[in-house]
Amino acid sequence: MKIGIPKALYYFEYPVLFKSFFEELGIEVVLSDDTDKNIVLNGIFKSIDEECLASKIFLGHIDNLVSRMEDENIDYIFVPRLCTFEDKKTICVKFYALYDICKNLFNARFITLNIDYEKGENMLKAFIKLGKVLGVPSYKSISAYIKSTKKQKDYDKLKIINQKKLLNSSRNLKILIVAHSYVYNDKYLSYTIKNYLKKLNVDIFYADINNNILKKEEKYKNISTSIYWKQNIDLLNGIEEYLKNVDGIIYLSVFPCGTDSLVNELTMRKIKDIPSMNIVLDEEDGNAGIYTRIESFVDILESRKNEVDVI
Amino acid sequence: MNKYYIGIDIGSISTKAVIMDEDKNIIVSEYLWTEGSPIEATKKIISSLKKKLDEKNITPKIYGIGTTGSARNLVGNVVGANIIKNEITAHAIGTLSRYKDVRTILEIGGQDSKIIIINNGIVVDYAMNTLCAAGTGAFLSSQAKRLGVRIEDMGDIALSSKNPSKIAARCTVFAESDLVHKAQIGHKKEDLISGLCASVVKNYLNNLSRGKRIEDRVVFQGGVSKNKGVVKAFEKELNTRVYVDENSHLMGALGIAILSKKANKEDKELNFDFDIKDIEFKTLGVECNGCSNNCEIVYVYKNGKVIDKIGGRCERSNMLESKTS
Repeated sequence: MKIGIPKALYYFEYPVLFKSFFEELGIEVVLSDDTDKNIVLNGIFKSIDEECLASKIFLGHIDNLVSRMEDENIDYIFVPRLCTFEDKKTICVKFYALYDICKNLFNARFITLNIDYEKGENMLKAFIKLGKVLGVPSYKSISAYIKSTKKQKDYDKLKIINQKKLLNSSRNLKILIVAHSYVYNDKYLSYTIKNYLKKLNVDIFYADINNNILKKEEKYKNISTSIYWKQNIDLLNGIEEYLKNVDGIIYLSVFPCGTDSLVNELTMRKIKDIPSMNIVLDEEDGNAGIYTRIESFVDILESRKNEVDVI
Repeated sequence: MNKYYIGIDIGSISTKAVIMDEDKNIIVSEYLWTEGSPIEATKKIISSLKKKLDEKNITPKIYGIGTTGSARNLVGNVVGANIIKNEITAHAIGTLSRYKDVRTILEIGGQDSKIIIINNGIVVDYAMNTLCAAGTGAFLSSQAKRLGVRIEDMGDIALSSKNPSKIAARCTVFAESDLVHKAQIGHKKEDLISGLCASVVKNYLNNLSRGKRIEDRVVFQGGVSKNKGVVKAFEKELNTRVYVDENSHLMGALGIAILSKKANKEDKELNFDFDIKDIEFKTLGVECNGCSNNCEIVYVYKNGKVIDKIGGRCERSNMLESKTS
């Protein structure tokens, strides 16, 4: 059997978990191609205007897999329904709807995984159910789930260790990027920005890679106690953790992201002692404005760091 | 022999250039319209600077060339600049060289507006409005046309008003319909214009200064700073004196000239040819077919030879070079 996973949205948060679960069960996994202009355009074509750019791109990736289904004998495309998590945390509602949207939009075979703690559907249960649909007995699913969760954890740990190493050894300007993993990992969305920052000799750190991977600290409560979006909580935890060790913060979001537009605005008002900049990415191709803003932002950080008179 | 530095600020609407000496004094300057052709504008402005130098009997040795503004990369390659920098940094430095104690720079240009906050001579924060045309020069000039007055006269007319109209400030579309409505119920023209100036200021402050502390000294620049009505509206709204330099339009060019002096660390004379108008520059837009992104790459040719390429998302576009040159 062969299953296709779109390289967008949830994939970047769990790049190991889903893939390795299927592989443990002896199922082959194929990924959609890296985001390029074709995928973006196809995604925009399939979406309604109001959706955010990241979910438009997601539909482009589904389209990419659907078009390869026949030739590559892909049996199912995997689109989980992610709804609620532990500690009453939830997620942007577009993740609730992905599976149903895909089933309605595309004439293809989809398979899902229903994670909804509020309704008693926890991770383990969800994976056992998924296994049943694939015709796998529960004990095999459980063992595959345990192994793949461990692999995902190891992967996350390595990320945090590497980031801490860089943080301790870096002599360059340090900028914390506050963005969802599906924004900063997407080649099309963020390549220009990351590349340009590297050209300016800036070391980049990501807010979602933080100590909470190792143990629960939940520092986000210093910024807001009432926030319930899981992904934004991850980012706030990271901001609190790195705040003292970086020179500046870049908030990077896609237009029109609902949760970010609220949380980033709130965070920027609460955290004041550090230069920060908000970049909202949209479908437009022009990068001139972004270059100007990043360059001048880095100029500011440099002169602050070196305390030099600019003249 | 004195050392001279050239600063060129190529904006979307106008191109500004200065030549300064080692002590940051402006020796000659020029201001003209870009008219959608930055290379032509640069050629024109350089030959005009040369003419002005000749009139003063100066044969300059050039030790630095800097470019800023939205066409900075293109023109920087054309003139062989030793520094290419964004306009925010350039403006801040230009203004700081004139007003050492400046804390806030307000800038309203033709297409965008900025606010730059400076603390102890260091730029600490800025905001830039690029999406909304409300509160920019373009809005004022279109309304001047509607009211049948010259944009240059707007300031004086606004000052003559005793009872400014209240014009909605949130959005150009609402401001315009508000203006039409007020005109039709008999408001005087000078009151309307004064109201317009105030609405530009309110809009600017709403958009850009949110959460920022505007402290003395406040310097106002950009094309709109020539409008006395807007200056007065700023002073009223901020309740402080707003300074406008007579060379306020040249601050970006001056700033980049200063930066070019700093960038020339070895203090060597640059090989710069004032007869740039005789050199043929061409640009060619090519689509890179390396992948389906189809990035547009612009090649800059000097007398038929590729001197630079601008654009492209990745390294793949470098491979194009052999095909086109």
